Amino acid sequence: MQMRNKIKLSLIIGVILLLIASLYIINNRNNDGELKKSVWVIYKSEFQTEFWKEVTKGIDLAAEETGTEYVIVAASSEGDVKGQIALVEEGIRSNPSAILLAATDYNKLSSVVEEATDSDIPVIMIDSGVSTTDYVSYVGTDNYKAGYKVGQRLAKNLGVGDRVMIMNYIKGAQSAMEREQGAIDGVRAYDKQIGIDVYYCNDNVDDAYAYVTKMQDYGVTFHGYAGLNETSSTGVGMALYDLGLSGTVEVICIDSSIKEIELLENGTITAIVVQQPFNIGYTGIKTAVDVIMGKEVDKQIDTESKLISKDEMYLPENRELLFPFQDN
Amino acid sequence: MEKLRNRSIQWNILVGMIGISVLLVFITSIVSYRFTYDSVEENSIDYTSKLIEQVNSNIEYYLEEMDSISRTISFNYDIKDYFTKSDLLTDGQKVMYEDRIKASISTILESREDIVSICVFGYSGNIITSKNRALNSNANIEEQDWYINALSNNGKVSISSSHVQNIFKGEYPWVVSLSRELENADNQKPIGVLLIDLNYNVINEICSNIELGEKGYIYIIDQEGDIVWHPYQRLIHSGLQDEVIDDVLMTKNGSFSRYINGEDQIYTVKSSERTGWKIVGVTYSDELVSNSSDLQLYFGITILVILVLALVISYFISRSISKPIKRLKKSMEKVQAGNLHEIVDIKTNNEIGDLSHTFNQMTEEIRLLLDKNVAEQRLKRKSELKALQAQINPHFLYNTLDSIMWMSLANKNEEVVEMTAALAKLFRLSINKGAEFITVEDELKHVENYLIIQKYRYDSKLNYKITCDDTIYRYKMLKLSLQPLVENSIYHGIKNKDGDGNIIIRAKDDGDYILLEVEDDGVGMTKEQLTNIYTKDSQKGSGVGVKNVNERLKLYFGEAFGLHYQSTIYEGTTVRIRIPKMEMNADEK
Repeated sequence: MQMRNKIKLSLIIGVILLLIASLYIINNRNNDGELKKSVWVIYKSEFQTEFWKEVTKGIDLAAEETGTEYVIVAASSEGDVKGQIALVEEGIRSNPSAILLAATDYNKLSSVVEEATDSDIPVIMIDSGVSTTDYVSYVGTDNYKAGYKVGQRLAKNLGVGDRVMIMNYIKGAQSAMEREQGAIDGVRAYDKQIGIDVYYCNDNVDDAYAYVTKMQDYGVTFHGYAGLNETSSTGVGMALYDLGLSGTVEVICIDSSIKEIELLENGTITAIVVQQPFNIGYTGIKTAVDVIMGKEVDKQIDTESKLISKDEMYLPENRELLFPFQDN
Repeated sequence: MEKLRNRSIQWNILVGMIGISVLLVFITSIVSYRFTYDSVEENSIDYTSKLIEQVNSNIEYYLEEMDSISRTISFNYDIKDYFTKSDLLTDGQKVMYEDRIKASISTILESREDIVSICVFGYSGNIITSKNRALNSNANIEEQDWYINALSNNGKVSISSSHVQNIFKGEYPWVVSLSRELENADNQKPIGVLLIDLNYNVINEICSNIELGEKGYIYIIDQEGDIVWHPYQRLIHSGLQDEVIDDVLMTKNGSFSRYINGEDQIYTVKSSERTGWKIVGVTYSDELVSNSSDLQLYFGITILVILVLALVISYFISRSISKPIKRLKKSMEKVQAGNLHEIVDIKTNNEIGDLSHTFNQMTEEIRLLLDKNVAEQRLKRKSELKALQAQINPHFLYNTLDSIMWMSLANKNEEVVEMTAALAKLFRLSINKGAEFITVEDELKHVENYLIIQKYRYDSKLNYKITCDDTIYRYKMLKLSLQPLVENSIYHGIKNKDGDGNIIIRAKDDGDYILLEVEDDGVGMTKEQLTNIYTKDSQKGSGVGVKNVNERLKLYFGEAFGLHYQSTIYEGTTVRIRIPKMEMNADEK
């Protein structure tokens, strides 16, 4: 009899404890998933181009979706490397859940990135990386692949022994060199023994324009042209248009602008490879949230570039890439 | 079932109560949860339907407004004139018309921020636009959707999906286009196409503030399934997210549910007659019954609470039943072990209380009966002893031995032998190894031996006769029941009589009974003596016999079977014994 009573008593106590535990759980249920998420975002420059406006839109949507707070800071201009370093340090001090950084300088921002990682703040590189690998993830366009797409498309319809001009923007700039290498490899993939000329226009439209015209004057024939960024592409395109060569050669460009779209429409530019800045911002924040929640993320996340020709430019999926919405 | 029967009451009550309670709560919870859920789901679909209907109304109303603007423009005589007669006009006149037309168009535009541009494309080749911008030479107007649709719509307004407008050089705004074919003054001949471009932001504003729970949203697709507006259209177009389109296209007005990415979603669709667009509201089922998982938890806890209550209550109920039963059981065990003074102390007014009360009464009765039995046994022993004592009457023995002595002295040897033998037999039968019962035959022999001895003493004064029915010899009767009666007859009846006395002893078969009679013709008894016959102790120590016999008869056979005296003074006395016929038991022989 004693034994039976003891069992019953312990049963009742067990159930009561269970009750208390569940009440406790209910009270805390509403608090789960409310892990604090605040992200410190550092751009290259205060002035936001179309590209960066799109990145911001992506960040905003992802932040809304995941309930993340964020703040965007930048130095006054892209050249202010010290300014950006200072901002990163300020970021480290304010101890956010993560830092998103678009580095203005590949080498000079390395040590401060390492500093942040050492302070247990996950760093996610967006669009422009650094030389150290001491960060959680790089989210951005694979510049090499973008260049490769250009090279491939360029050489596709060319004959054996033809010649192409690759207009690059800044010699030594990380993204520029990657694109260049990709483009070269893309051309060579066809094994058509195509001659490749690379020129650097110092990110100057006029410079690019002048070079193309000059080459034309010298009578050097190019069967295809590549522009590796907006300025180089604009220079090349405008020069060819003015020379009346629209439609006679294939021109493949990276990054679009209104001018380039015009040139695409009138047939001067054959196709444009666009990045997906919205995705960079969106995926950047999503990756940060994954890291904060303790999930595994890839070291390199390619937001992919897209090759768009004239026929495809008004397709729904491409419109948004070429013609971002204007916010009123 | 077998197991159930063998379990204790407590256990069965417990299990039964818990089972029923849990089952009830379970069923109730599930049913009410289901009801709640279903009705909330219905309400939600209702609400969503109304919401998107509202959105649709807003859009249609807005477009209606635009339509009337387009109609106003189409009625404009300047436009009709200009485009009909443009070939015949001078340049100066053309400019005049153009200015006037532009002026009327700008009044419309001035007040509105939502119209991006208004253009008229005449079939004759003339174009008037509201913007002071050059046209994009690369844009092929006649191949554009809005143009083609306007032509095939019989003068009615066509509305395009959202798209990029490229007709102006260097400008690529997002717009929704309204287009219609214009007719000349007679309304007979078409003269061109009117294009009104609306800022896409208008739709954006109508749609972006709609809230459907935390995760829900609305979106719009056109007849071909292309997205007109979607809060996540960037993600969808870059492939980072999918959206249900095909099922929506197949639904005109209604709702359906889908299980996507681990979540139940409800799609509510409304088709717009005017635009051909479909407006879709997406709601997440788990948001419907807000905190539905909390609800489930609450239900779960309710079940637990009820379980605990059931446990506790059933424990107490069953205890209140089985505890007294156990007490009763213990008392019964004690009674069984022999303690008849045990009283069950259960005072409740229920069935168990009644049971205990009855049990106590029963125990008391048993105890009383046992006591009575013990008392009876004692009395019997005492009576027997007394009888025996009476029988071994020293006086009688002394007188008899005296007689034997005198007979011996007188050399009456035969008589000596007979008397001695009779005496011996008398005493042997008296003692009878202590047994209570004796056959009728033996008892008669016993009384005969007594009479033989007495005859020697009283000689002719005493005559006797003994008769017996053959059938009753073997039946049992109480020993030492006749002899005291005969003794009484001799000493009180015959001894004091003048002359001879006779004693007749009869034993008769009376059906189920045996009748024994001792009749004498002695002096008889007065009424007073008769009534006192059982109470008086005799002087000679043998009067004990009658009282004793009567007592013993009643003891052994029952109250109805005592002695029955009949007497007439101076004439005689008869005493009768009536006993039931009983066979001698094996152990009594």
